[in-house]
Amino acid sequence: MFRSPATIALVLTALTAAADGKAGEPKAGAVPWSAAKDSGWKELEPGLELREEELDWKRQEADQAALVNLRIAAVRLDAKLFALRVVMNPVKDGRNLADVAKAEKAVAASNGAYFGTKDEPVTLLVSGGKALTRLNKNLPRGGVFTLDEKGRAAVVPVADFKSPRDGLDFVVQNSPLLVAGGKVIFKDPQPARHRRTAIGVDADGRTVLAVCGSAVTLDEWAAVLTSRADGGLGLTSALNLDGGPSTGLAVEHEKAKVDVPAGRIIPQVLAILRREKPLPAER
Amino acid sequence: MNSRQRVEAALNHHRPDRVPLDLGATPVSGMQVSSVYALRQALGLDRPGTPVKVVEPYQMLGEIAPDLAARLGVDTVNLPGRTNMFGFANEGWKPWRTFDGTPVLVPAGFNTEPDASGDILMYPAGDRSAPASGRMPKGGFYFDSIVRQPPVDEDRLDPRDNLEDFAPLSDLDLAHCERESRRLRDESDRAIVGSVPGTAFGDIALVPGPWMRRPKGIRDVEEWYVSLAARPDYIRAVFEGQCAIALRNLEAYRQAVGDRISVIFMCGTDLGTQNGPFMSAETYRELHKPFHKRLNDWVHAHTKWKTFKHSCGSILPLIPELVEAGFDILNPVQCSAAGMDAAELKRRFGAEVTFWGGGVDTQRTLPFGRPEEVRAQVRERIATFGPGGGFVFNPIHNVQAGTPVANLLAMYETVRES
Repeated sequence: MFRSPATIALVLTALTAAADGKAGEPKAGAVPWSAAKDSGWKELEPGLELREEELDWKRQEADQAALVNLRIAAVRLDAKLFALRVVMNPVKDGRNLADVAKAEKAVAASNGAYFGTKDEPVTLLVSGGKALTRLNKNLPRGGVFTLDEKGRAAVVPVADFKSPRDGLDFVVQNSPLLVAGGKVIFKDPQPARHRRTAIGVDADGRTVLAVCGSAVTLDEWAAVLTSRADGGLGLTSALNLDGGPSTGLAVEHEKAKVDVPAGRIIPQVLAILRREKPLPAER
Repeated sequence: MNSRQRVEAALNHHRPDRVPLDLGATPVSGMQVSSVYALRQALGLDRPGTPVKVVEPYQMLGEIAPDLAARLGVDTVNLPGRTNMFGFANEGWKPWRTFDGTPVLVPAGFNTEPDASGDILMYPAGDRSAPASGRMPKGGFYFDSIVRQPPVDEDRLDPRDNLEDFAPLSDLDLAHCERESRRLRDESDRAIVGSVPGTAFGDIALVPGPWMRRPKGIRDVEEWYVSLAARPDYIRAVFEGQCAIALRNLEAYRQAVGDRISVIFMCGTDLGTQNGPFMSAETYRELHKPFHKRLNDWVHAHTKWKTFKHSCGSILPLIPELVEAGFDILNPVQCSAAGMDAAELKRRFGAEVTFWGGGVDTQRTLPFGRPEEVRAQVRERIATFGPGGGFVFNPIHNVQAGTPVANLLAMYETVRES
C-alpha cells in the first residue's frame, strides 16, 4: 500500500524517538500519536492485567492530512501465575475466540502464528512442554517467543534458537521479529496497513500479548510496541504474530470482557490459563 | 473536499466530509438503461422519448451522463475500455427499443435478431456469421451468455485454448485509455475507476467468451466449476498464463493512465451464491489467491491505485482470504445473502477493506419497498459502514429495471443528506 514520504518521515521520527528513549522516561510529543483514551494497566487479578487504549494518529496520505483513531488492547501476565497454551481449534467446529476461551476456561484467547492453506500450523509450537510442530527454518526474519518451566519469558531470533529442548513450557515461532533490546529492529520494505497481533516481553520480564484492531503498518505497530511515550506499550522485545483478518483477542474474565473479533476461525489459538499451582519464585 | 478527495479519503480509511457516492463507475455498480431513462425523466433532464445510451450491452447498463451525475452528486466516473463485453466499440450509435418500450441508443456493432421464440440473439463483435453468443429472453432486460462448448476431449485439452481471451493491450487500446483518462481528469474532479482486461481469474461471466467468435477450451459454466475440482492443474496453467499477460498489461496501462485513476477494477469473479460460497477457503487459497496476490502486490508496489474486488453472494469465509490477497475494496457487499450482516462485516473487516456497496438491498427493499423503507435502510447502512471512512455508497450491485423512481429518488436524497 502506498505511503507518502511525509508519513514515512513521521514514522521515522517515532522510531528514532523510541530508540533514543531511556527506560522509564516517557517522551511525550515525540510520537505521531496521542492517547485519546488509555485505561492504563488494570489488574484483573494478581498476575493478570488488561490495558485498552485509543491512539489518535496523525497521518498524511497523498495530499490529505487525517487523524486516525487506533484501537489497541493488551494483556500482561505473570507467567508464574498464568500459563500460555496452544488450543487446536478445527475450523469446521466454527468456534470463535470467545467460544474457545470459555470452553478452555481461559481468561483470554488470541490468534497465534501463521498457518498453511489447509489450516495446518507451519511454525514451531510448544504447549505444556510438548512440541506440536517443528521449527520452520525457512521463515525469513523469524523469531521465537519462549516461556520456560520457571515462567521466564524471552524472544530470540530463529538463528539463535536451539530446537525444542527440555525446560520450555511454551513456544511460538513467527515473523518478523520486531523489537529486540528495547529497539525496533525491523523496517518494512513494502509497508501495508493491516490489523496486528504481537507477543513480547517488558522491562520487568512480564509477557504482553497485544492486538491492534485498526489497520497499521508493521513499522507503526513496532513503534507503539516499543515506545515508552504516552500510549506506547514499552516492550523490550516483541514478535509479530499473524495479523490482518486473523488478528483477534477475547478476554473472558469476571472483571472484564474484550472482544476484538478475528475475521476467520483461528485454527491454532493461544490461550491464557490460570496455573493450578503457581510456579515457585526464583531465588 | 472535491469528489476525488472524498473518495480517496474514504479509501484511505479517513473520515470524508460526507459519504462518497458511486453510480456507474464499474460494470457492477451501474443502472439498467430503463431505470436510467425513468430517472432522467423524473429529474426533468430530458424530454419524453429522449433515448439513453446503452454503454454495457451485456447487462444493458445505461449511460450515467455528466448532467445526471452532477444532479445526484456522484463522486466517481468510469474509464471504459475500447470495446465492450460483446467485443465491439461503443460508437456509431443507433436507435433501439427494449422489450419494455424504453427508447435507447446502442452501438453500431449491436447487431441482434430474434429467434423463433422471440428471444433476441446477440453476436460476438457484431458478426452475424459467427454463432450467437448472447440471448435476451423475450420480455427480458439483459443478455445471458450462450454456451458454445464443444465436447470436452480430455486428451486434447490445452490450457492455451483458454488463454485466447487474453492478449497484450494494443497500441490502440492504450492510446484510448490515455486519451480518455486525460479527458475525464480535465473535465471532472470525480475519482476515476479504470480496468485492465485479464486481471480476473475464472470470472464466470467471461469464461464463455461472449466477445469471441469461436471460443475453445473449457467454456461451459458447469464444466468450469467441475474443473476447479477435477482439473486443478489445467486451471492453474490457465491462471499462470493469464497472470503473466495481466502483469504486462498492468505495466502498459500504468504508463498510459498514471495516477489519473484512483481505483482499478481487478476482479469480478463471483465466489458466492445466496446461501454460501462457491468454493472452500482451501480451494481459493490454492487456486486463486496466489494469482490475485501477485497482481495486487504489483499494483501496490508500482501505483497509488486501490484494487477493487467484486463478488456477489454469501462469501464470509472467503473475505479473510481476499483481504490477505491484497484487495482494498469489496463490492457489492451483498448483505441480503446468508451470513453477510452489515454490522458484523464492518466490525471484522472494516479496518482493512473499503465496502463499496451494501447501501441498500436490490433484491427486496429498492425494487419492492416503500420510499420510507428505502430511506430507513440507506440511513442504517450509512450509519453502519460510514464511521471512519472505508465506505463508498452504492446499492448492492446494479439497479435493476423496473425499480420505482420514487425509491431511487429516496435513496439518492438520503445519501446526500448524510
